[in-house]
Amino acid sequence: MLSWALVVIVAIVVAVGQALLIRSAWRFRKTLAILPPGISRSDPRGDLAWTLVTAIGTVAFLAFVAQSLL
Amino acid sequence: MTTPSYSVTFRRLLIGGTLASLAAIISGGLVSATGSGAACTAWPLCPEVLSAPLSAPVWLTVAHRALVLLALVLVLAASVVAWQRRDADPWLRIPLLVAPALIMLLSALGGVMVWLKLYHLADVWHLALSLLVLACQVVPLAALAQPDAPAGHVGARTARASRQLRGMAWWAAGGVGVMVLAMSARAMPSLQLQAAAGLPIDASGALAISAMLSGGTLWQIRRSRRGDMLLLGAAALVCALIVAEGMTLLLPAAQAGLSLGVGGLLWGAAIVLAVLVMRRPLPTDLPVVARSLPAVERGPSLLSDYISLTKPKVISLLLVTTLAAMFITKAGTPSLALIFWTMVGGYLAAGGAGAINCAFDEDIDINMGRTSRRPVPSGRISARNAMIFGLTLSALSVAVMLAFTTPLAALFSTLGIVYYALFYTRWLKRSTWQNIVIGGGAGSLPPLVGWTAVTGSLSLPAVLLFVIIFYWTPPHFWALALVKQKDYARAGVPMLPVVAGEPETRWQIFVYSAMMVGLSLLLTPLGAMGAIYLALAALLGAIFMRSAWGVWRRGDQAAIWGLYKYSLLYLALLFAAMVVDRLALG
Repeated sequence: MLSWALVVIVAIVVAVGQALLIRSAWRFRKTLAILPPGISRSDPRGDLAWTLVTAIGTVAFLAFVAQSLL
Repeated sequence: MTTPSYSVTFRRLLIGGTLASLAAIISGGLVSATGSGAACTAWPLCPEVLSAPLSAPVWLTVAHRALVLLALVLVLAASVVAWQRRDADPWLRIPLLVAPALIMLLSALGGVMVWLKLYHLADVWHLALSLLVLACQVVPLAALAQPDAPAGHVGARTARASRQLRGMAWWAAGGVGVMVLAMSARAMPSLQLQAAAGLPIDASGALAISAMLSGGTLWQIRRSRRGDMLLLGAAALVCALIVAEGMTLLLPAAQAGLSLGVGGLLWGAAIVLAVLVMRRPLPTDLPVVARSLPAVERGPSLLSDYISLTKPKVISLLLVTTLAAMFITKAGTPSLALIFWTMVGGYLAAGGAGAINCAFDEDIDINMGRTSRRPVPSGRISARNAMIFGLTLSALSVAVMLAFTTPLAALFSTLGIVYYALFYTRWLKRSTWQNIVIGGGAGSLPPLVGWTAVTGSLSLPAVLLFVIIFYWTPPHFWALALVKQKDYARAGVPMLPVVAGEPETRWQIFVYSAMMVGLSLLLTPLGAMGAIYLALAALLGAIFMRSAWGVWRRGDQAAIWGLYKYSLLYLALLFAAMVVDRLALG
């Protein structure tokens, strides 16, 4: 019971956290236009893609954790 | 104390006793290696001698017993002389008074081996006593040859260096002794028997550790007793004999007893070295080269420059996570040899990747205050040489991991090199503000290396260790980037604080911290850790969250530095908590 409670709480924390990070990355597609001199502009879609990769990887990991408890 | 009045006979007794003890050890090794111990069915006499024709095993066993008897006689004779000379130097007297008891015990153990037919199991203890008997001959011999130097006034630095050297020399001698026993234990027919011998280490691990200790002793002598050619020569001889002993690893395990010839000599040389270190006169002060210029006027040596290319401070935390992962698998406590080689391979891999990073990042490092004094941007080492050095270390790491750990550990170690040196350094770091997040994967691999070095396979708890460090990386490095953001902007590195500003970075630090702390608790639900870890992880995590909250809400330099420093401590303590939990709860 304690195990499941911990997993659910962590899953919620990760879900909320990743949602906020994805929202930030989405917002940065436009707001990062003005950069300090010498800093090259990265591909906004690439930045967003990396954020999504991290989120998907973490969700997949949590799914494996949940499956191992079943 | 001087020893001018000892008779020639006494010296000859000691020399004879030493040679006889050595010959007894070598012949004992031959008896073990050829499995001749059972050729004589009784002890101390051998009735098989009366049967003709005599077989080679009987000859070997009888010759061994005769040599032990000769050593016993000589040892007893020297002991009688030492007993009569009550005013003698304790370095001569005490070992010789102890020796008869040891040799009696040794002979009795030989009898037990024959009577109970415990040839293999008692072998290591039989040899251990033989080595002690040999030491009891070698110590007085070396003390006779090198009278104790009168105590004179020496500086504090010299006294401290001398204490360090003495400690190191005796540790090296002890390491050599264990190594000789471990090399001999290779002859035992099964791993269970080797374990029953009670040695805490196997042959290759013992060889590596004694080589390290003896090499350290040589280095310390070179540093603090530069002009003492006798000490230097003795230490060099010990190192050379260790190399020779190492070559005998190439022999089949069944012939390991043959290495005892070299092993006995090596043990004697290591003891002589330790005695000489104790008794040779100290220099009046450290050599001129050792105290030439104040540190501020002296540039780093080439050696320290090359070592700094490997980023030893960064590596230490990586190795902590590797080591902890090795202790928390279900496979139990790993052997010292496996730990040693995994650490060596891990250092080489991380060091090689670090050196390649230094070679690639010359243009960035030169623009940052924190890194501009590194060897490559300051011109002390060329980028080309740094690259060659990094590639060499990386190749060595692959060889070490493949030879001494598991293929999967070697794979993860190599993946870590490619990830950090190429994927992160050449691409991520310069191209996206996600560099730290995705690049964190390189620093997250060491626990997988440690885990797979022990188990040879991957499991969910191991992946969780990776995930924890992956989520730990952004708060840690972004805290540093917040402090050094002008450096990063000048160097053209798109770190998050540079491209998105401080408030966004501080907020993301808090979000990543929350996810990391939560994920760190999952080791308990997965069954990999128990309640002790859960409580400690929750406590450490709560402190982390308080620091991250301070960074997000206040954002001053004190809060940011506080988080940066605590994050280092947090990771080390979190992995230490895992080991504590595993050792406490099993």
